[in-house]
Amino acid sequence: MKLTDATAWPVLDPDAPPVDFTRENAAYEKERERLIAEHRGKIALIHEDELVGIFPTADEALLEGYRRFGLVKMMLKQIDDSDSPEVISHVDTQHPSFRKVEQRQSR
Amino acid sequence: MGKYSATVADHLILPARALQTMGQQRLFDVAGQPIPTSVAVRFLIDTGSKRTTLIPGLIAHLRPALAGDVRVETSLGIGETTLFWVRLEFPGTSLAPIPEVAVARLSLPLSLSTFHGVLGRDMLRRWDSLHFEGRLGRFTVRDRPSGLLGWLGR
Repeated sequence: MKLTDATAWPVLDPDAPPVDFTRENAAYEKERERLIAEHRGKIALIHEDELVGIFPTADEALLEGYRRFGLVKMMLKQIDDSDSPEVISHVDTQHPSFRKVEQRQSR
Repeated sequence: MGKYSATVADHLILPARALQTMGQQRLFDVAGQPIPTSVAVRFLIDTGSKRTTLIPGLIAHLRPALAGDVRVETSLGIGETTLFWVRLEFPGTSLAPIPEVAVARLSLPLSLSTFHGVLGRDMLRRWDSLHFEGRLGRFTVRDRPSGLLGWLGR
């Protein structure tokens, strides 16, 4: 089973691929510079194409999201200015939870 | 002050429990959804990893809130995965719970299948120290400074 519905609260099977945040990421990118300048470290609540608000904690963002939209898919993104990939040493890169973007060349 | 000490055989292991954050539990309760039970986890402490991870089977059980996605660099290449907000508790230790942390949903290599995730520098940065005593074969995690420094609140 994948996401049961693209707008529902996520129920991911262990073998499901990563969640698609195309819409949410586009909404975040539109405001990215301002958010980093003014709200670094806080949590941006994004529902579909809308940046709903900024909150001190993920739980506060979640409860506001629930109050407005119910138990649905929403992204609670921590605002930071890092663009580079995060190094994680121990990953099964063959598992569907890891969506390959770039293969490293073997020497 | 909370701390956890253990001997080291092959790995630095930290036992914990993973669960939904308090806000998520409240939300599930209000929404009439069953609240997933907490799960005992064995973390591999990994100073080479920037972020803490949990295996997909555990995330499937917890149904936690989404924190977005993240690009991940490994020795085999770059990929993407999903981040989730969870709460971590450390029963059997005096370490204080972490109310919310965004963990990456990633599977571990087969050689590490006895673990449920890696505990990366994002968690270690929240604590005061990770002290490894090589000759004694022991490590200690402290969440706040000990001794006079801790008393003074540094």
